Amino acid sequence: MLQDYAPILLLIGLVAAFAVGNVLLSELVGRQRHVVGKGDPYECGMQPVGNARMRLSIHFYLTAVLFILFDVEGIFLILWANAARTFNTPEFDAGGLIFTEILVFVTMLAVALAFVWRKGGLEWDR
Amino acid sequence: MSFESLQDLYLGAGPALAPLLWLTGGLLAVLIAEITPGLTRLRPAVVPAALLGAAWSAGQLIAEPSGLVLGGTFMGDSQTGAFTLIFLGATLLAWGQARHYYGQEEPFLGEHDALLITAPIGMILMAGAQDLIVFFIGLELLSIPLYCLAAFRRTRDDSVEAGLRYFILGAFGVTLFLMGAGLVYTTAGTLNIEGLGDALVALTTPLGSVGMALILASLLFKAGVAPFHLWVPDVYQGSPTPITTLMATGTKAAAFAFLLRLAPILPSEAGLPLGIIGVATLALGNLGALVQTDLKRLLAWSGIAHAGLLLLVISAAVSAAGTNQQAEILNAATSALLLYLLAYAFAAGGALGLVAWMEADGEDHTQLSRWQGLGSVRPGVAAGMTLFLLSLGGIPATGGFLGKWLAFSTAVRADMLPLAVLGALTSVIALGYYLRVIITMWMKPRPESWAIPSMNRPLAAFLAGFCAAMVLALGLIPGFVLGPLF
Repeated sequence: MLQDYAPILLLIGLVAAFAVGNVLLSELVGRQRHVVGKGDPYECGMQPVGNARMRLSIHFYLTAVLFILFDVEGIFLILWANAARTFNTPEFDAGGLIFTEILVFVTMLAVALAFVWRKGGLEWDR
Repeated sequence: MSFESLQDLYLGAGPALAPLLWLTGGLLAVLIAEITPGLTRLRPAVVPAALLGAAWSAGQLIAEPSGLVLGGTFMGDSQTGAFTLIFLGATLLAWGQARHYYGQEEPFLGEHDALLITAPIGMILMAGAQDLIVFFIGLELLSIPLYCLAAFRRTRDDSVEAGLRYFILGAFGVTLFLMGAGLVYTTAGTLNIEGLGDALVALTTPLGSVGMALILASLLFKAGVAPFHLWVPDVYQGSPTPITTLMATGTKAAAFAFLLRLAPILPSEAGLPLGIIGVATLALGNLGALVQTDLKRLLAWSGIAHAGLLLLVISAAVSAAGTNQQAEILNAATSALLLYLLAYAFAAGGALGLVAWMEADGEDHTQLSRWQGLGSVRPGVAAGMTLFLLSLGGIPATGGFLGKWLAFSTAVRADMLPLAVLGALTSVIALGYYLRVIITMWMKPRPESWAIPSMNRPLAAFLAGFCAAMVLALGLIPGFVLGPLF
């Protein structure tokens, strides 16, 4: 059974050999020129200035957390909407139950949204 | 699950879920009160109301257990109900201690209460979980609020350090659990505890054993058992003292509640190693506590020792698996754990409450040296602390004695006499450091220049008095206190 995975092992070996080989090859064959700036950290072509330990605003962090909160809500709602139709047939007759379930879920997230809003979590300039 | 059973899913689940619904309702009410102008003042009433409501419905659940609910993923029996009462008591203690702990100018007190009320929801899910995924949700619901709460004194380095340390190590613990659950699912094909019990053969394969070991490791981490105990002293010391109360009493109880659920499905060969780990933890915790000079750190190390003793009880239940005594010993272990945790909650919660109370007079009052000669100026506080420490040490006439006695007798009944004797001998060390605190309070002279602690907080005094009364009642008239519960 393990032999089935032999091509994967081979591929891993080839990839590693290709990467290491290229670096080694340019090291051995290429011309070495040491100019100012070559040893600096690469920062999208910009000159690196200042200290790396600067303080950054955590606005992005807050936004990311809030995004996840409502992202999950979106995923849940789509799945619910897909399944809800099936349950709202005479066969299952669970439409009310299904609707109540999602209502509870959305209410909780609405309270969370209201909380974030009132507390100023959505304001960018503070 | 078939579609027809959708309604059946909810039928009869009401009583089992009522404590959870009370707490969730309380959480929403706290959030709404926090953002509605004019309602902010209601917050101090909402939290205890939700906790007491949940406690009432837990009492109903004990009286009329509803069994397996929600498709066999949650167990609404009297065991869940009794553990729920412990969790709610711990949360109520922590909330009461936090009332004047932070100072009125402290921001985010509403968030504090919202996080505090979320933690017991997770604990209850952990105690009643019959499915590893339900347990995982409980674990996260418990852990994430505690990570934030541990770092709640944001201006203090040690508090932030405690939060970060707890978060990073806790994330490791949770990862261990998920990896373990993945391996268990690979071998057994189910995550349901009942199903795992039927698939015991699959769990003894190398892959299954590794999975169960990883799950156990994450539980032992949460409970603070060696060798996963190193976070405990730092986190307990750095966290705000009310949060330490919640972690020491609630989190530990929740982890052991689920260990008790797992005990019947673990292979009986696991009993002896678990017992040895338990006794080793007991010794390590007690030895570690001997050299501490900070009361919170001392109580943290003693908490490790207590976790070790509780693990000994669990190991007794595990090693009895498959014998004809299994049900009997599991029952004995359940009542030993419940009583021990109840007595521990009141004793450790009361002691930490007194520390929190003293901290109002200066943050260095967690230092043992600051308690020197307290008996001469505040005899009530010193007497309360003495009672709590004696109960933690297991002196007769206190709740701690009864808990220790039941714990060791369970181990003896499961034919673990050598471990029980070793454990009893090791726990004698504990008296060394408990007595050191008592001697410091009563027999050392208090320097003249030290101000007398002001101690004008009725709520803290009431909580300490209540804990002291419960510790005494559990020790002197346990039948009267526990009769309605069991």
